[in-house]
Amino acid sequence: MDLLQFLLNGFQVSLQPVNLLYCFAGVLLGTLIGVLPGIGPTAAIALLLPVTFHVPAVSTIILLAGIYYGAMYGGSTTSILVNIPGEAASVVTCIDGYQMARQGRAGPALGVAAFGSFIGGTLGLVGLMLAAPAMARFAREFGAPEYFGLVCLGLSLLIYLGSGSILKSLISALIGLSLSFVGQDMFTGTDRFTLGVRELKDGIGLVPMFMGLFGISEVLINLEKKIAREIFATKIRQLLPSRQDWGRAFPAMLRGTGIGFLLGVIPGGSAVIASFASYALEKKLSSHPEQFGTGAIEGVAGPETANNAAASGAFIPLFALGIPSNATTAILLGALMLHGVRPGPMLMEQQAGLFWGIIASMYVGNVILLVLNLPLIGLWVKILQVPYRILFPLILLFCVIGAYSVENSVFDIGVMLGFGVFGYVLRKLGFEAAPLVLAFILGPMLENSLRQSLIISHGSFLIFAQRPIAAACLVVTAILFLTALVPFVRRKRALLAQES
Amino acid sequence: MLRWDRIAGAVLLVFGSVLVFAALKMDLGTPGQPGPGFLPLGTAGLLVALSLAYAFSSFRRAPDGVESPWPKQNRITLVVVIASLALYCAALAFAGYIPSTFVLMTVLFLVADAGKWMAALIKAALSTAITYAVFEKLLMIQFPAGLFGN
Repeated sequence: MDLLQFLLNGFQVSLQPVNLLYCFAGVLLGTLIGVLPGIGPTAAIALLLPVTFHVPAVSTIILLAGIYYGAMYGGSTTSILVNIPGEAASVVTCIDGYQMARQGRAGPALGVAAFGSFIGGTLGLVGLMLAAPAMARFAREFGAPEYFGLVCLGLSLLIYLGSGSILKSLISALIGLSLSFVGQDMFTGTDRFTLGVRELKDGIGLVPMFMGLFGISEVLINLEKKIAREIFATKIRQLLPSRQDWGRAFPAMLRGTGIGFLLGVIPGGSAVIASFASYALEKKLSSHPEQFGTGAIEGVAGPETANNAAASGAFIPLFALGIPSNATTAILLGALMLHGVRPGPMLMEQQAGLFWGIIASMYVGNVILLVLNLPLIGLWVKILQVPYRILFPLILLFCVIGAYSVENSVFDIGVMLGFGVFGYVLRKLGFEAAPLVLAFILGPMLENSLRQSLIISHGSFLIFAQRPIAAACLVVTAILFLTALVPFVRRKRALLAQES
Repeated sequence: MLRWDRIAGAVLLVFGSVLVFAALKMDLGTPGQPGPGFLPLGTAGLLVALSLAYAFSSFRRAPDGVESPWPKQNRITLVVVIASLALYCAALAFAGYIPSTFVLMTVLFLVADAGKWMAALIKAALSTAITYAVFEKLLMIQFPAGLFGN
């Protein structure tokens, strides 16, 4: 009953005209971002961060979260019609979605993707609504040692489950951790790695760093390649799937929801992994696996449901523990922190309006997306024809203004450009940006919890063994790194990375 | 690609070493009572070790057939874009938002549509004017006034 009351209060917040407007703008922008290859939701959220400074925290997260799950909806359109994924989580939809379009079944493919996204997103939200408060209640007993263990586990899971080499991901995380030390030490006020630069005393700015790593570097990568956008010439008709299509797609959607939600909760288990895992599961369970790759509707329904469920699941550790599970939720955490909101076990008690308002807005957003998506497919197809060469100067200008506007500082534009080039080089050499960003965000929490734990224990490291949760997290962390050294696991990871 | 892995390993090694030296100048404390330099030193030390492992791993791997991660296609475009952004960054405070943004956007639109000067000038003027109106006048962001200070 309490839950229902909280949710009703949440709807009161989310249905306020201004929040409804932000929700609508978020999901619309998200769909647009999802449709347009060349800019992903992480970059888009980083670009929009400065715009939200004068907006209340709840409206900011409603807008930015809308972009995140909206992009999951939009990504399927390009995968099905152009065979180019609008964003990474829709890569696998290309396989069967495009084949369906070629067979004149673009309508049902788009329809099942939209319904699957809605079902995954909505059921994922139910899971989020039930699991986040329970996890937060459990986490209320956590002290510094538990947080130290959790941060270590979160980072190691992200590194372990990432698609690239573990060595490179570790290096990436260590760079992020080193960068998080820049600025004044929070215990003693000593300057660390500031190079005598006044602007670095408060640390490296989140916004210019994110905009550089995700916005500028993405533009630079895209400038290198020619994005061909030949839209498959087909009449889009019969968007509503037939009864036979539903019969095949619905079980896949339910399984996709389960697998996507679980992988979304785990740090590193992103929407991308969820969509691939769902596709693999569907193929394994199907009585006609040979149809996969030739236009099997389960190959569209499962992954599209899974990536939306994963997007909902990813909010659980963010809200309940204050620990982001991927780069996008790391930026959302940054956005909350910029508004003076510290997610964690007490968030749901101290900021109930904000938490339940965001949850309710996601229900509203999912409905808006379902209503918007199908009738607007013609518009998205037209937008796809806008050449990237027109878009990139505007994206760069928006990055420049965004980085500058945080502190009215030209220095921040330089920081953004520096991280843009750095991010570009990292990507070219096969390093992932996600471990770097997460380590940068979690670095202060890691250091704080370590030093606080040692103060509590009078300098004894045994405190981490005496607290069961901290000990369990650290043991799992150690096991993850040890198994990563096993030749069989290394070969399997390399194979999976190659496949994806 | 292996050559680039070695170069990247060397660069990371230098970067990690610089961090180690910088951390050594801070108060390290003791493992039981870590000072401000303790964790930075540990992190940088680990970075040095992993950079070495990364560089050495490239000697053990067979060539992957990828010559270079930097394709020749559009290389000049990339250099022009990065250089123009760097110059913009240097000139913004001195020249002010309007002239420097106009020049930057002209260059970027010229890069996008080579040779179409008039179109580039019009698009640059429009994007500069619109962003100035929206961000400076509407959202009250104070851009550097520069040469044409008000």
